[in-house]
Amino acid sequence: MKNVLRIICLLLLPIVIDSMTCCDCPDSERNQANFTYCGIELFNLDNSGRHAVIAASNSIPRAAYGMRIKVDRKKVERDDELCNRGCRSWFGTAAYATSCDCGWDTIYSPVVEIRKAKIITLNEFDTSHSAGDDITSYFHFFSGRTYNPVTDVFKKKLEETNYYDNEGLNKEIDFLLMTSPTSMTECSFQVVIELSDGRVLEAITNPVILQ
Amino acid sequence: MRLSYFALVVLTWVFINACAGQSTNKSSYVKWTFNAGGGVHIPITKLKVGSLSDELIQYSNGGFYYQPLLSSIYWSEHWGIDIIGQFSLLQPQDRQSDRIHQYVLSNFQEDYFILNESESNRKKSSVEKILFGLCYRINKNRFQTNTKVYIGYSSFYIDWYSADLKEKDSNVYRKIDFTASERPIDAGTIAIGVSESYRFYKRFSVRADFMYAYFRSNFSISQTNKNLYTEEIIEEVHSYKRGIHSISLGLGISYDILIGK
Repeated sequence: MKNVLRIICLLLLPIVIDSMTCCDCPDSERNQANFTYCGIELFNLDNSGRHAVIAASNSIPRAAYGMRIKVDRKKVERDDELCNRGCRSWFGTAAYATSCDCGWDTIYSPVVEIRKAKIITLNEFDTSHSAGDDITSYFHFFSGRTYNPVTDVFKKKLEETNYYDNEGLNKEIDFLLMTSPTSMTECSFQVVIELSDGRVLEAITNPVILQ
Repeated sequence: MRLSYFALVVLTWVFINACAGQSTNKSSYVKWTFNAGGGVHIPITKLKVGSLSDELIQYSNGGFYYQPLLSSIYWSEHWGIDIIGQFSLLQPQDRQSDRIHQYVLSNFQEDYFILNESESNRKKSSVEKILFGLCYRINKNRFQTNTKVYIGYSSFYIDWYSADLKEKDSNVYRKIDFTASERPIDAGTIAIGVSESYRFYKRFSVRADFMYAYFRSNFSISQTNKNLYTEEIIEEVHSYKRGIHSISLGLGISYDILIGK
């Protein structure tokens, strides 16, 4: 009986060795790439309904105004040695070897930092904020549970590093106007993002009547 | 019923039975009876009173119960003690999550969008009773009449509910929660009962039970409405203090163990 068990163990040994050695995943450190910010686009949001939508008209209830910022991010370099390596079988053909599943695809990191981000009103907003004033603190990002200030969200959402390759690099963030003007007014807002390489990304919303 | 109560009562019962077993040489009247059965609860006063608590109480006013545990031990010809464990079954039509949803719709739909709702947390069983009592029996031929007085616990569950709301024409999101002050609700219970059994084969008997039980529930349901932007919370507390009277009718089969006879 012992001899039979020994023979079975010997026969199974190559399979065990194969399964332990066939995966040759690169280190996660080698699967890194970088991106930079290339531009931004702004859209007026109407959040008067169940969900925020890009405004179809130029008139929005002032308590339900928001803006969507679409940030164009582009990859600047990449290590092409990705995970899709075949298995190296020691005892059989590679076709029958166990396939590798190395998990992460590529981790992207920004090559420049966001130094400052602000939202400026281009019209007189209320008695204390005239055209050209910074009203960043009037906007908030709603995560589904909490409201977060714009400055926190810009850095957190745009500079976070772990992205799957298939997610795409462009990013959209919705900011909600939580302090609305006291009376109906026509507004237009400018978003300014200052980067550590000296560039400044800017965009202006279409004029909208906050009624 | 909290498990600790149940465990305490069972352990006490095992201890008493063990002591009784040791004294079997002294007495010829010691006798164990085990009973299993079921029956129907008939409410005299109802748990549900037409308020918010109705939407969350996981218990229908009436319904069937099963009684997997009933054991009696007698230290004399007439006197003994016994323990009962009763579990009621939820009525299938009692879908609290639908009812609380309707409640929220009717109260908030006009001004809010309801975005997400929590799942119902209810359990499969609702009212549980663990009773411990004194009994007095009268034997006549194959018939036995038992009169009992009990104290113990009744326990039932209150569902929790939460929903995310969004104000119409506004960027303001809210969260509403309904939570009970305690869960499960445990209430001290007193009961009296009478049972009639007929020995149809050696140690086996059929048995009919009648019981009247009373417990007083005292809990509150808190309804909070939180503005997630300003973090202002509006809270309403719905107090529930009510004495619940009920009767139950049941049938079962008993098995007697004679010791020292």
